[in-house]
Amino acid sequence: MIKLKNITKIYQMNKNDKVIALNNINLHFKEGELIVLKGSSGSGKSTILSLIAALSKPTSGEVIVDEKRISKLPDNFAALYRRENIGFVFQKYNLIPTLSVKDNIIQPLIPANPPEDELKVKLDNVMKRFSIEHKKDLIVRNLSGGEQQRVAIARAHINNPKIIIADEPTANLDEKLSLDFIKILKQLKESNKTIIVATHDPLFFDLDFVDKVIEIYNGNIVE
Amino acid sequence: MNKKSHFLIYFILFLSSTLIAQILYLNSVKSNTNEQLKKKNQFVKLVGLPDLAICTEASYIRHRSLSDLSSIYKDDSILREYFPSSYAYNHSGLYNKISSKVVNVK
Amino acid sequence: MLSKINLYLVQYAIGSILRAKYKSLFITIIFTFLTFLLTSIFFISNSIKYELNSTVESLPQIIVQKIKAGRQYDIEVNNIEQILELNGVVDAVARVWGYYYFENAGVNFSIVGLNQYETQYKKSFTNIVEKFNLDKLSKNPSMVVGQGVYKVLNDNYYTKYFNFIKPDGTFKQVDIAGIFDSNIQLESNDVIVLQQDIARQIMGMREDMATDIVVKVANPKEILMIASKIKLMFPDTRVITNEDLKVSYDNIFDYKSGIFLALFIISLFTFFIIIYDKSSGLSSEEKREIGILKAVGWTVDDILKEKFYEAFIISFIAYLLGVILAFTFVYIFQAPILRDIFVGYSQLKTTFELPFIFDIQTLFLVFFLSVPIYIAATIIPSWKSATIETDEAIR
Repeated sequence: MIKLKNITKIYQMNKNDKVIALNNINLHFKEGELIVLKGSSGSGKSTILSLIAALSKPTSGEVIVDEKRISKLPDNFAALYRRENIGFVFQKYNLIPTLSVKDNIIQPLIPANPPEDELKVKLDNVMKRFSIEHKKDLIVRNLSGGEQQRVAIARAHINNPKIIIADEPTANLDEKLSLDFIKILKQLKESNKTIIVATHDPLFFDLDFVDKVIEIYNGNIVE
Repeated sequence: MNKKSHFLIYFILFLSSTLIAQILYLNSVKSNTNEQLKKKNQFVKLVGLPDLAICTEASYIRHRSLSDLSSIYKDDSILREYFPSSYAYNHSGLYNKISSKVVNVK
Repeated sequence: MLSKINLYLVQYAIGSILRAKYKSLFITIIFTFLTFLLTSIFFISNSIKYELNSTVESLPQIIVQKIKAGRQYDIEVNNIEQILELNGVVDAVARVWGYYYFENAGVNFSIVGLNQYETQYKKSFTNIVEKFNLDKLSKNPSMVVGQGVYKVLNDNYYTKYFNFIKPDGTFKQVDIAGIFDSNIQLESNDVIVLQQDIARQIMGMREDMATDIVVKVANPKEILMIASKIKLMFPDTRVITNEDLKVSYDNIFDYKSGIFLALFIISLFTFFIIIYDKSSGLSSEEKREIGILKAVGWTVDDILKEKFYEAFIISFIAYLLGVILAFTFVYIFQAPILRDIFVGYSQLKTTFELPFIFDIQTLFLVFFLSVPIYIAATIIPSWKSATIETDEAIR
């Protein structure tokens, strides 16, 4: 379902400096798999995530998702693709702390300008699923870490995307919250979502429901 | 959901309508009525002098359209400025007028 | 069209403004103040110009002044005979007018002497003079004064008459026969109208001299022609036509100097500081926010639309508030501090009740000077941030 073919990504820092983030890598993920990208920071795993999410374009090579070439999509189509197919869970959640829970969750829906009742239905569904509807009008910064985590996942999920991408999701969490997160991941896998997690948290490496663990080092896949 | 944007739109509408109401009010109350215009014109016809009776401390500003360059020096050659009046009003440009423009003298 | 506006974006924009509450408030206040100041001064100058132009047609067609050594001098009255001989001239009248400095109050009065005081002008007087006492006019030397003059005289205990000091040091008592209507205060505030011979006495002007000569012409199209002929006849004169007065009225405000220049420079300066702050790039927080929105599925268009709404809301509200305040300040409160610039510091205070004139050009000018530029300054850095690859936001 997700194919990365001969992907090379070079960042031009300035005239003379360039950083080779990814060096001719090839990856293939099937639908419904849970993949863990392992590697230290700067190894290139975040770059892979952003390529799959069409947030950046490869210097050479192709990214194919669901038979569609997304590596060269113009901005509007890339955004549409993201809206419909990708759910992001960021490190530190990247919620807007001064907005309410529901205002944060509906962010991905805004560009489509849906009618109000449709928006409400989607919102209620997703809040119920991740058990935060009782807090829907509270300001995010007043929530506990676990509740914020669930808000972040709810936001990633509101458009019911096929692919969930998580970048260092447990980097700032204690063990309990990390385990809670892993529980939610399992739930999501059971609903046949393709999940890609980039992390160097060892908790992820030995999970039984992880399909693949791919190690990246210095822009290359470690076999 | 759209409470805030509705509030904003109403607020902007309120401001705009205040503005329009203000303009209409001022137009009806504060603009020169025909009667007033008539009186003003009668007075000016009677007296025959230009310029408004503001800035009366300096004659070259009080009747700037008729004054000459030297009236600036009337009091003392040091006194060039009657701030802030000469700061706001420009001299009339007639100071150095020697002759009227002649158009098509046959 | 309204349904095309994504109200969610508008709401997000409002939320965004409210999130940076103090900064938004600060910018709004500064903008409002700038708009208010600029618009007020424009309103005042527009109204003054309007007031001037509403009486310009009643001014004399031709005024002949004698200029000696660059200075205005008394002109010989018998010049009138030669002027009357010109073809097309209907009338030529000698005028006596000047200034009287009232030392006690430290103010200048404009003295205008009129001939045929009683009969010809009685009719026009009745309309524009209040408290008109006709008897006084016929019995004693009397004058009609403007409201400001009356007030100053009153304050100095002259309630029914005034003692002018003649050039030879003696007094000349003149009764107050009437006060000019308050509706014409802007034109008559400092004016004293009296019989011409009394004016001559007060100003020490000889019978055969006058301050200037006013010429009336049958055909207005011939004014220039006759003016040039008069100039040829009397080379030492300056001939001012009605057209010249109109031109003089037009350039009463030099927008490149004086108060206007100072105002424009201050406004530009403040404005550019705000814009520089905005356009010198977004803070890392704002960049991150754009990155998140993009990751979550917003297009660059959506982000720019949202930024546009933000900037538009702030600048438009500031503009509306500024203009409303300016109207109130100038036309209802008579511009308390600003008017001192336009009225001067003379003790002879006049009303600043300016006529209201709706000049849409001014409103548009101020609008286009502020709102679009601010919006551009907000959108451009956002556009820059939104179009670079935002994978940094993921970190």
